[in-house]
Parts: sequence; structure tokens; C-alpha cells
Amino acid sequence: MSDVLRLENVWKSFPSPSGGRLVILNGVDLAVKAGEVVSIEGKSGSGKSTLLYIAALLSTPDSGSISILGHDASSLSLKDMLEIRRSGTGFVFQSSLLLSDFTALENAAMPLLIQGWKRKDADERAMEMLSMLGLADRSSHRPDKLSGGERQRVAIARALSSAPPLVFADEPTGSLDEKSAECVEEMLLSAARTAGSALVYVTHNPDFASMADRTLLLSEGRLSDV
Amino acid sequence: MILRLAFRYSFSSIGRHRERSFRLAFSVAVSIAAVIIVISIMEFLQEGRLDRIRAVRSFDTVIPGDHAEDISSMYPGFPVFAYGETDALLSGHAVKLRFIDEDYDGGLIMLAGNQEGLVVSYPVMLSLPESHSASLLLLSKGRSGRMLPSSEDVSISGIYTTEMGREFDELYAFLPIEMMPEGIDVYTALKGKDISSAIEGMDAISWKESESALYSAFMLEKMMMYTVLFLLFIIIAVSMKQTIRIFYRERRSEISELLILGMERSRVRLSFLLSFLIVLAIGIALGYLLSIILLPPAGRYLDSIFHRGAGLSVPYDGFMILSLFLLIAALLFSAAESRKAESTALEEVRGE
Repeated sequence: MSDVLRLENVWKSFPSPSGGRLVILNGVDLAVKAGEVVSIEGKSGSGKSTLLYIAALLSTPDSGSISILGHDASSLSLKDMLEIRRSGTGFVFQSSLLLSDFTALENAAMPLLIQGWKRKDADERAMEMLSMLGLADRSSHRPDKLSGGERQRVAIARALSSAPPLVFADEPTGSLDEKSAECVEEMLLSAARTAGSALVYVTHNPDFASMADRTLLLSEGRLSDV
Repeated sequence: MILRLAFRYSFSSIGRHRERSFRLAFSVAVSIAAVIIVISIMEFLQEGRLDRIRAVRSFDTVIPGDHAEDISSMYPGFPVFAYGETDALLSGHAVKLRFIDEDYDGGLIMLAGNQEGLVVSYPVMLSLPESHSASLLLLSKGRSGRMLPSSEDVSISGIYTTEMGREFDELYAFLPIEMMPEGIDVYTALKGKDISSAIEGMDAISWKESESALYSAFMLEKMMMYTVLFLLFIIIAVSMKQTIRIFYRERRSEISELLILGMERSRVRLSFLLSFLIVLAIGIALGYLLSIILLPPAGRYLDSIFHRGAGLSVPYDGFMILSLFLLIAALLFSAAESRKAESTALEEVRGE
């Protein structure tokens, strides 16, 4: 199976408060195959989220190469990058970033509408996703009327509604209570596998990390198999 | 898609945005209505004054000498007449005594006489019973530039005023041109068209030249009024800028979301810009409606004061310019704030 994501020798550092630079990623290599579920575990502040943002083209590395869905990131134009974000990837944030003026259904349908789907088709597909995640009866509610777990499930529905080949999730259950977290973890993995999307998620929860096909540990700026 | 986002964001109930949007729309509406009504009243008053200058004081074009027939044939359809005038004392009033031919179409307010308060035309003046018998003291130029008084008993139908405002008013009395004593210069007047630059060799002057000080004063008054109204709009623009700034600050995470979902920056910008333009358009439309409702009673009130049909109308030029000013201000503020928000939106999501 071909790699949907490949990072080679990726470096990233930030200015240190005491002067100089703080190296966060120290020549990271990562390859993710189509449909594969990969978890990245690591301590708080180890650079997991930074790695994820770089892989999702939401941040740039100091050096190294990234290949995403067969494209070399360094040669991508802004338009190509938008196209990859639009139809190639999905993203689930720790704090479920949802459009607060729109209902759960409208939020889940948003990527499809941005891709140019007709509203009726987009709503049908979004409703399918919400039903799969147990939110059919909450589809007309706005985010402020949903619980943390429900909001996160809407975020998952939105990330997977267009069945993108690659989905990223940054501590998707980090802000939830244990019961909601377990439910969301299972649903995220199940939805990604049903959609056939490769999933890369970061977590500091070893149990959640172990649910992936492959678990990696980010420590001292380097990735290693667990 | 963009319109859907824009409509939803225009009156979003998140935070205090809806309240701010309504407040902005309301203040725009009130300002637009105030500006329309003030400009409309101001134009009515100024037009009235300028009309009176052109109808009585100076006429649109004045040519030294009696050229009434020539000018009439050159500009058919416009009132042309000969006249002469001099200062006089009439029944204790200092008046301009104007000797005028019967082609003069009048348009003065009778101040004293048997049709007091009415706007009368000259033929009507002539038909009125001669109610005032007065001793007229004429001041005419003698030799060496001295003013020589002479007295004459005359009958007039009334004394007329221009009603341009206390500081500009002059009193007039009229007599047929046949009664004009020798030594008073004759002029030809044309009303309704400034032809001073079109005819050469006749030393014609326009009403703007002969009343340059008064005309400048009116223009200055107008400019000052527009300046005050413009300042009002600056205040509205500042309030609008504040609303836009707060809106973008509160929506940074949503901007980043839309960008992460793959929406082009230009479409994100357009969505938010349109949301402000919708609020503004509603404010402008409400302001227009409010002024349409308020103009008729304002006109009736003016009519009761000035006794002349005050058909106030919307000054469309001013309305369009001010609406455009607000829309352009919203465009510029929105562009600047969206740029700022976009530059920090992704950093905020990344927690940097």
C-alpha cells in the first residue's frame, strides 16, 4: 500500500525565552499508509501537536521534507494546499472548534459545501455521519447546546464527512471526562475505519494510543515504535 | 455558500454581536435620516433664498440699458423685462423703489397692503387697488456725485419683502417703468437663465457676480453644514470600526477553521465583509424609510412658518454619497481587520 503521508528528517525549533532556540523536532521520520491508524504518544510539551500541525500543512518545519497524498509539500502552491485541505485531509482539534452560529448538521456539512457539493447532498451525507456517531437527534442544535463529547463527535463527523484519505486528530479526547472520552475514542477509530481514511492522532493517554494499528512515541524530538 | 455565511454572521447571536449589529444598524439609520432631513430642509431654505435673489434682488442676468426686445428674441420662453431702481423713503420705510415694466412676473411677499402675507406676481400687484398713498423721497445723483433729494406723491399697492431672512431682507416698492424719473439707469433683466458668459459686448453680469458676497455666504453656510454632517458620519465610522474590530477578534478561531477546511482567504474575507455590508444596507434602508416618513410633517411645519409650499424631497446626491462613504469605510475596515485576524488565526489554533 502506498504512503499517504511521509515525513523525512523534519526539524522544528522555537525561540527559547532564555535566548537561543528550543529544538522540538529533531529529525523526525514518519510514514503512514492508506487506511492505517497511527497514534503518537508522548509527554505534555514533547512536540506531538507541533508534529501533527506540520504533517497537516498547518505549520512549516525548519527543514526536512513532507510528502502528503503523493505531493511534495515544498512545491505546493497555496491553491494546491487549499485543495489538499479541502478534499484530502480532515482535522479534529482538542477543543472542538466548531462554527458557533451553525447547527451540528451545518457544521458537519460545511467541508462538503466548501468543496462545492449541493446543499441537499451535503446535508444527507452529514446526517449519515451524525447518525453513525449517535447524533441524529442533536443535528439541529448549535454547539453551545451540545455537551463536550457531543461537540467532539460533531467535529469528527465534520472531519470525516467527505471521507478524506487522511485525517489528523490532536488530543481529540483531551478535554473530555473519562466516559465521554472512551465513547469518542471508539467512535473516531470506527468512523475512520468505516470511511477508509488513514488516521494520525496524538494523545498522552496510553490506552487510547494502544487502540491504533501502530503506536509511536515522541520523545526528545524523535519518533520511535512502542 | 458565501451569502449563507454572511447572513448568518450579520446578526449572529453569539456573544453580544447581535446587539452590536442592531445598534450599528440603528445608529446608521438615525444618522442617514438626520442627514437626509437636514440637507433637505437646508436646501429648501437656501433654494428659497437663492430663488428670491434671482427673482427680486438681482435676477439671473442683468444687462445695462434697455435690450429687452433683443434678448427676448434671442432667448424666447424666458421672462425678459426692463427696469430701473433707486433708494427711497416711503412712509418711513427705507425701500428699493423699482420701476419695472409689465413683463415682470413678480414673486414677492406683500409685507404691508391689502394682500398681506401673500406671494403676488407683478400683474396681480398692478391689479390691486392702490391702497398706499405715500410721499416718496427720492435720492438722485446730482452734479459732483452729490445725492439730491426730491419729493413726489405716489400711490402704490403695497410694500414687499424678499423674506430671505432678517439679515438679508430688503423692502421693495414697485411702480410702472413709465413713471421712472430721468437720471435713473435702465437695465434689462432675464430670469431663469444665466447668459452672462454667452453674450458679449453688453457687460452682462450674472446674479452670482452681482450678489457675490451673499452667494459666498450661502455657500459657506452650506459647506459648514456639510462639514458638521460629515463629522457625524466620522463618529458613525469610528463606531463601525470598533464593531468590526471586536467581531474579527471574537471570530479568529472561526476564521482559522474555515481556512483549515480549505476555504480560500478571499471567500472568507468576502463572507465577513458581506455580513457587515448587510447590517449597513439594513441601516441605510431604514434611514431612508425613516426620512420618507418624517419629511412630509417637516415640510408641513416649514410651510406653516414660511407660507410657501415646502415640498421637501430626498437629496439623492447627498444620500448616495454618504451611503457610499459608509460602505467604503466598512470595506476598508473589514479588509484591514480580516488581514490582522488571518495572520494570527492559525497561530492561535496552534497555540503559538
